Amino acid sequence: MGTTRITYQGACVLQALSRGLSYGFDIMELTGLPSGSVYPILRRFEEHRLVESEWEDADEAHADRRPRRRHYRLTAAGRAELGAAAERLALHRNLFLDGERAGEATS
Amino acid sequence: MTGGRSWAQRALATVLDWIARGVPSEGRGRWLEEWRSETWHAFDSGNAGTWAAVAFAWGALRDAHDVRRRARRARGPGFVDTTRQDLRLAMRSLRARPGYAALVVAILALGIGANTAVFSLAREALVAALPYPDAEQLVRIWERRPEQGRERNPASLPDYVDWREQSSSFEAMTTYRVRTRNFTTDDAPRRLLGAEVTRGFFRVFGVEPALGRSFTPEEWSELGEPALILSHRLWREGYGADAGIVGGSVSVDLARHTVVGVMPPEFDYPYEAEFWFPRTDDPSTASRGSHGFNVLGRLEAGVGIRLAREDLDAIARRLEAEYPDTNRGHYTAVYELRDEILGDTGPVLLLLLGAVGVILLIVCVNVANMALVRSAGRTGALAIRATMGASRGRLVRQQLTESLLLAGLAGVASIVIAGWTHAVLRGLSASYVPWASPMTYDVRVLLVALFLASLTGVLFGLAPALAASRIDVAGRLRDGSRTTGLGRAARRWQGGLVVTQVALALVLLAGAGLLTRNLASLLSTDIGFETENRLLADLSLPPARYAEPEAVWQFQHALEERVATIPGVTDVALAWILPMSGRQVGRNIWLEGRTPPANSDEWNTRLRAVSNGYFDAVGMRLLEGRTFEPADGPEAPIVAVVNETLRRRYWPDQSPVGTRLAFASDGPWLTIVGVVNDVRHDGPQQPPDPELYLTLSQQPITDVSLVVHTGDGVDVTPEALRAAVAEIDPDQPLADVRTFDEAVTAWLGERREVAILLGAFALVALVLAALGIYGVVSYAVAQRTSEFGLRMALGGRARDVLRGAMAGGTRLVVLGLTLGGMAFLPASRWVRPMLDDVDAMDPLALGAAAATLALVALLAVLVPAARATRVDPADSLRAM
Repeated sequence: MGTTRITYQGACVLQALSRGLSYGFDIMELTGLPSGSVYPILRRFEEHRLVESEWEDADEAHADRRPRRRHYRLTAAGRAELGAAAERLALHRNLFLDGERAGEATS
Repeated sequence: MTGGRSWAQRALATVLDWIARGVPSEGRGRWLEEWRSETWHAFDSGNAGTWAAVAFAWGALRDAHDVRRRARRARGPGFVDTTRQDLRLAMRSLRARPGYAALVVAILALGIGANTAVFSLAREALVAALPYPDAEQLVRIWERRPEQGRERNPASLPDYVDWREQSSSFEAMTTYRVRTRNFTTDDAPRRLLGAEVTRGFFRVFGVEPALGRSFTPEEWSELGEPALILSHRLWREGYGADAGIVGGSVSVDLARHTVVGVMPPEFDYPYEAEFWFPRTDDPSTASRGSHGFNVLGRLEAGVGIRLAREDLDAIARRLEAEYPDTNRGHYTAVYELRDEILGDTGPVLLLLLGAVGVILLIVCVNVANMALVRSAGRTGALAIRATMGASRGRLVRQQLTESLLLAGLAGVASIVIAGWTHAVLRGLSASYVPWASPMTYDVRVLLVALFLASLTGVLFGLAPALAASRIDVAGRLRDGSRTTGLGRAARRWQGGLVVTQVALALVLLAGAGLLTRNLASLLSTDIGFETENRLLADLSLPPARYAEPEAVWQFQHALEERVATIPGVTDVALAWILPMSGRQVGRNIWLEGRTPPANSDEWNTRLRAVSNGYFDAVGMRLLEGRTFEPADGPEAPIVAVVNETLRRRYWPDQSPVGTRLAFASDGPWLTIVGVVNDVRHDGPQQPPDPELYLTLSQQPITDVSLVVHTGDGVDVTPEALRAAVAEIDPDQPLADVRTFDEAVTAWLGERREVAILLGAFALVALVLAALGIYGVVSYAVAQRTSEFGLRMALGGRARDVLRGAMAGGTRLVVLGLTLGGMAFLPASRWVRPMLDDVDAMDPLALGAAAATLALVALLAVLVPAARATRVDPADSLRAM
């Protein structure tokens, strides 16, 4: 799925999902991204089938007297995309750790 | 933070609901649910406060925006997006040509503004009702004498009483007479106009005093204290709006009168009446032969004018049988009061409406033409857009957007112009719509302007858009040339527009030409007296102080002497009933030694009374005998002077000098001492009346006008005249100081105003037509530059090239003139009611109009065509 361009923020969201977090609010807390970024990212990923979502059972939520939540999880494609993004990010990381080597690698 | 929901959380919930409205409906429910649930959990976990709520709100807003944007992208651009895009494009392209945009907006605003102003004036005049309850039931009732061709004669009081008591068609009836009185108000003596009214006056109008009360039965019968009711204006301006004055008394003609009421501000009938006195309607107080009472009535609900007239005519027939001496041949006429007040304003307004309509048409045609030429310069750009995939509809829409944008701007600008035009119209003619308020920017006027603006926008956007949509894309691009021109269809459009413009301009010019010629013929009519360097003023002496004839004569002689000493004054005179004052008093005369006619009305003549110097002061000519002399005093035999028309009527072959006449069969007898020339008393368009002049020295008349003849370039001020009056009687006001020229101009009023207005409209049309022709011809010349250059290079003569360049334009002008002439035939009937002694097909006026237009039009062809002869052959060949 090379057609999806994963931004740094997108990669953070995918990473958070791979760690098992499944709610938008939890992802915000972990990544420090604002809600105005997290939800659009989740929606775009869902459109591209990198993540899938499911609504909590309404009865259960009702019994606990709280609104039902939507939880997200990675698809196989999402996992693959995360892998590719992690590789790319690792290169970026090298850029900061060792400027000269990274310079050679990219040229 | 515990289980209870904080205010921040509650506020956030409200904000989320509000933001959710911006989310496309199909996903809105789930969107809101997720945001609600996530924020609920955030607050529930205890680490969210006010700032978190704000951050969430901001986040939700951005998310909603994102959802919206993605939905839109999936759907493709909608109407609003396209419009916004088109608007941006239109604004950019107009900014690139600010001169073009400004010119179009100015021309459009002119057309729309003038239309809005005239439309709102017409609405006030033709549609708005009189400001009285059930005003359509109000009628004016006249006595009609078909044998004498008199349609509107005032009634006598006894006749009126019989009409009122015997008719069954009226809810109420009343009479009034216009009167002037001298009021001593807070600051100064004032001579004011008002009315003497009889019982039922306020009931007919259905209007009651705003303060105080109407007259009591005793007051209507003129018993007890004299009473009066003030107008709101007089109460405000003369008595400082003092409510305490009601029940108190004011000084009128130096006598105390009790103020019983103040009318509401909108009531000022008749004219702009400032006061109303009661007059008894006891028929024994006036004779049946004395006509001077204006009768008003309110029809019973459901009774029409025709029925009322039949009812009254039946009564008139009975009165004729009963009083044959006075009522022979007298019928009645009933007209709606509204039409009576409007007079012949209707045709004037229709003419103006027609004229501004034509202006608007010319404006649209002109702007369409400009847009067409402009679109020609853009065909390249349009062709590129078409190749890039813009559909024909899309291109048309872009053009229309630009047109509508211009029209919208013009609509806004036109509101300003409408205000000015309206002010000018009102200034010119306060008399057209007597009850119209000053123009207010009400919603209707705005809507009219906007409607006209968008209509115009669509009209002139259509032509270039249609032309542009027919672009041959492949051909255009293959040409690859920078200069692209209009196709043949567009050129035909353009030619049609120019022809239309010339034709419409000719219609307006012909109308204006006729009115101008009519006015010129009125102005050149010999009115029989001089008006230049003559000042006029009115004064009426209150009977309380001037009850004795000697007192009147003393005052009048003293005034003449006093005014004569003012530097620059050459002649002074006094007159009762001046020409062009709108006043008339007629009496039947008996000639000594002749049998009176069967119908005494045939001996009716107009009366005037003047001081000895009057004929000299107004430059009238003595034709026979003598004028009045100091010897013609109160004790001397009563003398009279007749005018030519009276003399021709009764003494066609002999001199009337020395013969005698009287106002009753048994005298007293007056001796005719002279004959003077005729004057046009009711304006140049009216034939002269038979007139009989008496001398003021023998008639103690208290209501006179002052005539002051001054030398050339001498400025005698109203203050100087007032000072002269005040020296004799400080309580005596002098009213309405004016020049005789102004009085004549006012009398020509409507004729002059309509001629000026139509002339102004015609001028606008002429300029616009010339602009249109100029634009078309210069465009055509520019298109053929290389052709002309080639011809010059090959040795063509400048004259031939010029002729070639002019041919097309000239043909359009000639065609336009022909069509315009044909269009004027039916249009001329709008002008006809405004013409006095000029024929609607007057060859001079029509010829002048056509010649003016032809000259200007050919000039507009010649100037750009001449450019063709100045083309440098080398330049144009290089450009090929």
